[in-house]
Amino acid sequence: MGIDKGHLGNNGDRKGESFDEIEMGIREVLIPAATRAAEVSVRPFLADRVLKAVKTPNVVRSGADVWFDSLFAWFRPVALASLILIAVLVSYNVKSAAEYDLSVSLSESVLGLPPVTLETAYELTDE
Amino acid sequence: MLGPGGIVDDVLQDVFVQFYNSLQSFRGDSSVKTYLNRIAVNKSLDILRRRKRSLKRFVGLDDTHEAELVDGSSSLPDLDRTVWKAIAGLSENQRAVVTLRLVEGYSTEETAEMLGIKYGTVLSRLNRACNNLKEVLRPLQGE
Repeated sequence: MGIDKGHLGNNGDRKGESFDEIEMGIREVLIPAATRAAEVSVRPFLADRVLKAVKTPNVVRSGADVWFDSLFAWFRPVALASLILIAVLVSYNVKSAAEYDLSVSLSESVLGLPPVTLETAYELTDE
Repeated sequence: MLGPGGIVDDVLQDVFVQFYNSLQSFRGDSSVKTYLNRIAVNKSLDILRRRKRSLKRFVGLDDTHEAELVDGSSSLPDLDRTVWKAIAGLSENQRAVVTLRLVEGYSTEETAEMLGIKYGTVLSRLNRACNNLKEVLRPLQGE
């Protein structure tokens, strides 16, 4: 971020909010320190480096980006296979329920649940 | 906000690259300077949070303020080292407010908008930050 030296000695900002005495005192120390830090921190030829980075986009990609891209690539075939499997299981369950004439509801037949009556629930067998 | 060090140059470069890449989505609601500052502050906050986590892990909480100064501050005068040590003692959120409000000179309202926080939150963070800084920086004022 650029340091606007014009703020030094200015007792207010662009919206007319004034700085109190404490804030002004801190600004007097902070702004020159920030200016000097910027001078030693920014290497020369920044514009050249930015242009070079812009011309070669997406060369360096983070590990997270690569991982998410591979997840997206995997997602479509996995989702399609899962849908086909679910459709096969549902049709098999519905067909079986009709074939054995099980008196179950539609949701039970879709999910392949066995008919449970009060009588079968209390049946004390080892099955 | 980040203090002296090579990371500042990397962030600066990233800010301009991100700005270039997001030019199509830039609607001009705010000035280019404000837009660039917003990107820079967000990137700086990310770095400060990561830096804090790694310093806590490897250095220990008490030494983190000193450890932050290792990179890039050797060429600075003692006065600046004291300033950056005081800044390092602030939380990331307080640093963002101090940078935008006191160094860059944005209004409280603009600072709140840029950081995505409430007006009152800016004032309270600024007040806490000033209270922390004034004792450390008072001897340096007028030097």
